Parts: sequence; structure tokens; C-alpha cells
Amino acid sequence: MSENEYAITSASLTKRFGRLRALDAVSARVPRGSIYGLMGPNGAGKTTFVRVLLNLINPTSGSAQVLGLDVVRESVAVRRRVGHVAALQPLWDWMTVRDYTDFMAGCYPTWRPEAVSKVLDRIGIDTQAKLGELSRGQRAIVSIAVAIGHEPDLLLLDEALTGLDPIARREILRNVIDAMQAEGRTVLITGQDIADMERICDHVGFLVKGRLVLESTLDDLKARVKRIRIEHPSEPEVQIPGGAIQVERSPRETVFTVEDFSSQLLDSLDGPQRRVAAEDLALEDIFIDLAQSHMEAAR
Amino acid sequence: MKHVFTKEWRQGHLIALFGLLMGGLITALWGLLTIAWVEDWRDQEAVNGFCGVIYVLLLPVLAGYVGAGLVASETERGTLPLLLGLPFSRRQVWLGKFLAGIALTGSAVVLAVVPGAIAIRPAFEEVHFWEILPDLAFGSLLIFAISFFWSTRCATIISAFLNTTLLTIGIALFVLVWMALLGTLIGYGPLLDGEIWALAVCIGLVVGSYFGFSRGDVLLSQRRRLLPLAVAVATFLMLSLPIIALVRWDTRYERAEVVEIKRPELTGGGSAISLYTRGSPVRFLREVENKWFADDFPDYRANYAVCLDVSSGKELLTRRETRPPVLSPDGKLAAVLRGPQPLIWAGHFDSFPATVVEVWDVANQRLLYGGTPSEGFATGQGEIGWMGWSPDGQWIALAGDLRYHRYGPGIFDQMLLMRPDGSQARVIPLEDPPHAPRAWDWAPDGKSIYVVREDGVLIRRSLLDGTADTIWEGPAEHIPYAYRIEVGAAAASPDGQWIAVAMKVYYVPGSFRGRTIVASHPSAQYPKPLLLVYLVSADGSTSQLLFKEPAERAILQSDLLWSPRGDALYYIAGAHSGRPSERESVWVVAWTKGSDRASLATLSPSTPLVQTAVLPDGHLLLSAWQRAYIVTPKGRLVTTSSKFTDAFKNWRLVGIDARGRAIVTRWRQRDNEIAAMDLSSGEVTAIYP
Repeated sequence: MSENEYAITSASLTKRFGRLRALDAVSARVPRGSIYGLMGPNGAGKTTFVRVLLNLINPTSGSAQVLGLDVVRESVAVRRRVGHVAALQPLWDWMTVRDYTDFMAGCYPTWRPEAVSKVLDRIGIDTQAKLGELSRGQRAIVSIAVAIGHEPDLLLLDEALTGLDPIARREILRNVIDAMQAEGRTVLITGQDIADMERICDHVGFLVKGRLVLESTLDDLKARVKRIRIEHPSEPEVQIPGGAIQVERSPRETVFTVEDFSSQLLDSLDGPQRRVAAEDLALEDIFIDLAQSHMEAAR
Repeated sequence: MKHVFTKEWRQGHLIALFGLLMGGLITALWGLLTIAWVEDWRDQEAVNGFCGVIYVLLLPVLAGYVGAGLVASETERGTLPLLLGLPFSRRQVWLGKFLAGIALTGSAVVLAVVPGAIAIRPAFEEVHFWEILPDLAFGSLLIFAISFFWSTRCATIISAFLNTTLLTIGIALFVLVWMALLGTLIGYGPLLDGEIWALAVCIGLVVGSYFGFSRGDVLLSQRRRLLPLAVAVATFLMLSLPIIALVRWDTRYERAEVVEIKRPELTGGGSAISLYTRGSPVRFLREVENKWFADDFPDYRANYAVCLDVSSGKELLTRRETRPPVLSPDGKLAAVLRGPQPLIWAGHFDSFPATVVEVWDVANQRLLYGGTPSEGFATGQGEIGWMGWSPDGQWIALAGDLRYHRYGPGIFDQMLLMRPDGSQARVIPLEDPPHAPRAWDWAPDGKSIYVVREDGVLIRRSLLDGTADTIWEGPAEHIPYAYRIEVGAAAASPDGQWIAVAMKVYYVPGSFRGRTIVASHPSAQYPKPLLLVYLVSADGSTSQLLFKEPAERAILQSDLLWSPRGDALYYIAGAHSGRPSERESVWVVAWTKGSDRASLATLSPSTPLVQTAVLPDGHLLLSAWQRAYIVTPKGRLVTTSSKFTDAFKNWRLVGIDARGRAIVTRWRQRDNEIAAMDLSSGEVTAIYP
């Protein structure tokens, strides 16, 4: 892929808060038209990464480009083409929903009111209600609806689905994110709900303690990261070539989670009195194993 | 920027309405207090001052509140990322907020002030609101800049303050009162009165706020490490401002705004003019038969007292709310008397007027002494408390009044003496009080003063030991028959040999123990009051009656004027017949050394209001309405129509300066110009303003 084919690229992007490295030389690539799930445990740096992309905070070092624009020097142009929803984003409570959408409409030249009302109408949000009177979930929906009002080329959903009930969540996923993907626009979504991400994302990245430890398509990730279960009645300790990111041992069985699965690896483990089997992992399991592995390594 | 401005305006417009509410409340408070509490004009002034001070404090409080809330409120609500995520540059967001803050503050202030300006104008005038408005606006802008700066740089701390609004207002009031007191200390205006450093701070804060907001990590600006910085800055300001104030204490404060020149007087051996320039009068309410009337009172607090260099017209010293400065004989030092401490910024609620004396080195604009020389000494607030330098320039003396007479003259029952540096200050109680402020004079040696007592007795009081010697018993031939003696003036001759005393003696036929007294002498001979001028030798051995005229309607006009060499004395009195159709008559009493009686010249100008000055050659220059006269020591009128007459058509004489020029004021509806006139050519050169 050429550089133009990425909605987001970052090179050694670092952000320090005093002694804390919130982002540690992150070099990420989010392909255009993808739905990219950025995952990581609490404090991994996901929100910081999103804020740096919007230039809400300045990077300490490194660089990042969004839609081919430098996030620091061309931040206004970036924000003009990006929609952003933060987790539990507080709104100007004194505004009505209508005031808020009108205000946002004035801020963006490419505003499409019907895109906003479509979402709000489907969920059934009263546009005359004050934002302060809405529930947390309703406010999240308003935020998401407004974030797509200017038809952004990139939508950043920073744990934006938090607080939504399953119905609203499904509506958002179906009517917003699927529509974005259908139109070839990019979505970067962060969050803890791995099941949702597995359902909608085609690319994923793992941030652990500010480092991007893995970036891949979801299919590739699932093909590469597998669990190998070895039943071995007599062997005291089974090893695996190349190492594993997670190992669970019991007297008769050892379970490896490997990052670079291949049929050759499976073949190499086969032997007398052994029963070797490869298992596909759910994204959540991959996430947990990877996170634990890297967090232990960091300690 | 427009959208941010609009959003801020919509978000904060209640602040403007809050201003209106506050204005209404203060107005209502004024009305309530006026109805429920005010009993006389003093109470009304107190209410006016109180409400006016609330207004003065309200403006910076509003400015600080708006400025602090602009960014801190976004941080507090968590909406700052939302705002910064909009497709605007930081500069646009900052500018939108800044301008909205200015607009909101301005609207709040206007809406707060309008009801008051309409309904309770006296309250505004009591605190000189319109005069200090530029200062107030500037101070409010500075407070806005400070609060806005901290709002952008240290939002969490500020929002914590905002969360506790009462605390915020309390702190703001504390700071403002503190600043007000400081402003009072350094001279009437607020601390920040147009000073360049304050302007620089203001601009620096705004620029710092801009760069902090546009280039810094605003979302992270609530870092706690800024807290020590905030504390350090606050501490620095708290400590440094009084130091600045102390430094500023000896600097000149302001230039007078000349609306009208009043009571110009040559001092310092003719090198300077001291005068009042009238500002706007203070209006107060007067109750007459249960009805209130607004009345303008030319309160001297609205005036500037100015000391001018007559050669250049430069203001040597300008003070407000003082009496005119008096220059020392060598013209280097100026003493100025201030009445009550003008706590207009902290609320001036009628208080006993402490007398404050300032002594200035006028050449270097340094305050040599400023303070209350004696706590037990007061001069009242009216036209009293005349102050004078001793002829050798070593002492300053002023007559005082223990009783509090706000507007009228008091009884001068004490004399304050002090060195120019404020040392050796002492109050000498006068068992022999002079009746009028000028009924005393220095002995030429500067070691004693002459006081003419109420009964006409001339006393020399030593300043060294406080002893009093009676050197003349007064007009003995008149005293037994006098109903009252009104002492006009006393003046020692420059050579120290004579003391001239002018007085008016009233005779009234009366009764004693049921018998009507008809005095054979002098009441029978002089049924009307007499105007008397005596010359008494310094040792009291001889006295000489220079002048005696019936003076039923005599108006005591002038001081006793000695020629520079002490060889001639003049005294001018005017009389009014009481009939408008008749011309006035002015007596010029002239005496030359060696004569046993004064000569009398009678003029008939169209007004008895004359101005006089002794020329260097010993002649008297006298100007009346559109006329000028010169009188010789022999009492001969040598000029009644000359170039002076023409030149003096629009000018009124103040005196003769050290270069022999006539210092004059020009009357154009008001006396509002000072000039010097060359007496040989009649050429007039404008001096001031």
C-alpha cells in the first residue's frame, strides 16, 4: 500500500506526561476504508493517540498524518475532515439538541442535516430537549450523530459506544459504521467491547503501555495467533520452537498461544504419545493473551 | 471565531442580565436606605458613597468572574475537548472567547451601570464614578486579563474557585479593596492608573494567555505544578505592589483638568502660583420641609490644587482634594494641606477629618513628608486652616480648629508648628484665638508669630517656649464701647519694625440694668461701624492709627500689603452704598515710612471687587472690573486710564511675580486662563493651562 492509501499514519509518535510515556514510538497505519479497532488495556494510550491525531494535545516527538495531513501543522484541516466522539463526552448542557446540531452545522461547510436527523429519528431523540436533560446513552447517540454530520472521511470513536444499550448499539453499528464502510470511509474505534470490534473491524491494533505491539488485519491476526493444545501423559515439560506468548501447563496437558502459527509448527510439535491440536481464538482471547504477555514483559 | 463568539455569548448572556439585576438591586438598596435611614444630607452622602462603592467594586468582580469562567468552565464541564475538536484553530477559539468575554463584561457593566446612572446619580458622583471610569475600566480589563490568563493556564484551580462562587467573590472583593486602599494610599486613583507597567502586565497576560492556549497543551494545563507558580505569582503581587506603592508615593500623580481657576495666589516669593482648578461639583440631596432637593456643592474634593511655575507654566505640584500648596520663601518646597483622608475607594463615610500635611520638593517631585503631624489637630474641611511658611523657611505653621466645622469657618484655637520634614511638630493651644485665618503673621525672624485676638489685642507668641506677650492692648479708645470687633488681618513689616492690624469695630446702642446707655464717646460720634487700621511697633511701645472711616457697609477686601522694602503699606477696602444706581467706592489706604497718618485715595470702579499687588518700586497696582489703577505710597492716584486699563479689560490681577510681571487671569465665563503681563508694554503671555 502506498502512503495515500492510509487514512492514518504515525511514525515514532511519542507523548510524554512528565515521566509517563503515554505513547511510546507508535508507528501505526490505518488503511483508508477500513474499520480499525484500536485495543488495549486501561491506560494503554488509546485516548491519547486519538487526541494527538486531532491535535488536542501536542506530540512530544514523532509525527502523524491523518488523510495525508500533518496533525500538528494542518490540524484545522484534519478536524474539518474528521468526526470525533469521545467516551462519555460531556456536551454543552444548556443547548437543546437542535441548538447543538445548528451550532455544529455552522462550524462545518459540508454539513448534511439529513444524515444527523436520520440517526436521531431512528433512535427517537427529541431535538427540542436540552442536552442536559438527556440520558448518558442518548447524549452518546447525539454525539455520534453530530460527528457524522459533515460527512467525515475518518470517524474516530473513542470508546464512544460505552453506555449505549444493545439496541442503540446495534443501530449505531448498522446505520453509522456500516454506512461509513460502505461509502469507503474510515472508522477508527477504540474500546473494551471486543465482541463488537470482532464483529465490525477488519483491522486491529494493540496498544499496551503506550506501545503498539501488534497491528494487523483481523483475518490475518486470527490466522496467526492460535492456541496449540498438546496432550502429553508422560513428558514433564513441553517446549515450543520460537516461544509462545502465553503458556498454560497442567500435568498432562500444555496449552500454548503462539503469535506466528503455521502448519509446519504444528507438524513439528507432533510426536509419539502426544496429541497436538490447533484452536482458533476469539479476538477477546487474543487480546487478553497479548496484553498479559506484554504487560508481564514490561514488568 | 464567529461561531465560538456566538456560542460564548449565548452561554454567558445571563451574566449580562446578572449585571442588570445587580444594578437594579443596588438602585433599590439606595432607595430603601434613603427612605428608611436617611435623616439629613450626611446620611444621604453616606448612602451615596456606599452604593457608589458597590458599583465601583461590582465592575471588576464581573470582569474577573467572566474572565475566569471562559476556559475554566469548559474544563469544569469537560467540554473543552469538544470545543478544541471543532475545525477552528486555537487562535480562533481563543479570540472568540476573548472577545466574547470582553463583550459579556462590557454588557454586564453597561446594564449594571445604566439603572444607577439614571436613578442614583448622586451615588455615582459621590465616588467620582465618571472621573474614575477610565481607571476603573482599565483595572477591570486587567483583572479580566489576569483571570482569563489563569483560566487558560490553570483551569482546574480556577474552576475550583468557580465551584465555590462565594469564595471567588470574596477573594475578588478582598483583592479589590486591597487595591483600592493601595490606590488611595498612592493618590486617589486605583492602583493601575494608566501606568505603563500595568498596561504592559495587561498585554503580557493577554499574550501569555494566547500563546498558552494556542500552543500549549490546554487539556493538560491543569497540571498541579502550576499551583506553586500561581501561589508564587500571587505572593509576588501581594508583596510587590505595596513596594511599588511606596516607590510611587513620592512621585507626582496627575495633571489637573482645568474647568475653572479659582483663588490663584502668588507664593514662593512670586515664583509660583497656587490655585484651585474646579472639577465637577458634588451633588447632594438637601431636605427642606420634608422635600428633597438636589444641590450642587462645590466641594473641594472635586478640585485640583495646583502649584505652577510662573516662568514656564509647568505644574510643579498637582494634588486633588487638597488646599492649594504654599511654596517656601525660596520657592523650593511646597506645603500642602489635605483634609479628610479621601477613602473614596473604600467608602468614605463621614469621619472626623484628620489633617494631613504634605511637604514636597517641587524641583524633584519628591515627597519629603506626608502624614498627620499631630493626631489632636484638625483644620476642618472648609476654607480654613491657612498655612504659612516662616520667613526663614524653617517652619510651617497653620491655624486649626478643634471643632468640626464642615463648611463654615471655625474658631482658630490652636496652632500647629512643624519643620518641613515633619519633625518637631507641636500643637500650641491658643488661649487668645485669632478670629480669622489670616489674623496672624510670622515675625520676620521666624521665631515668633503675631496673633490678633478676638478683642483686638495683639500678642506675640514665642515658638521657642510658647510664651505669649501682649504687645498692644488693642484700640483702647474704642474697646469700652465696642459691641464686637472683627479682626481682618495682621501683617508684620519685612524689616520687622511694625505690625499692621486691620479691624472693624461695631457699636450698638444697648442697655445696662434697665438703663439705656447712650455713650457720649465714641458711639455718639460714630454711630456706624468703624474701619480701623493700626500700626504697632514690634516692641509695642507705640501704636499709630492710620485709618479710621465709618464703614457700615464696608467689605474688608485685602490683606495688609507691605512693599518689599517695608517702606510702604497698603490696605484696600470697598464699600457699597446699597443702591444699585450708585457707583462703588474703594478706599486705598497708603502709608509711607515716617508718616504719622496714612493717605486715602478713593476710587470709583464699577465694582468693589478689586485685586491688588505691590509693584517692585513700591507702588500699588490695583485692578477692578475692566480698569487698572496705580497708587503711590503717598496715596496719589497716578493712573486711571492707560494702557493698563485697556490691557486689563479681560484680565484680573493675581499679583506681581519675581520678574515684576503682573500675573493675571482671564475671565471667559469662568476664570480659566492664567497669563503674565509685561507692565511696560502691556504685552500678555499665556502661562496656563
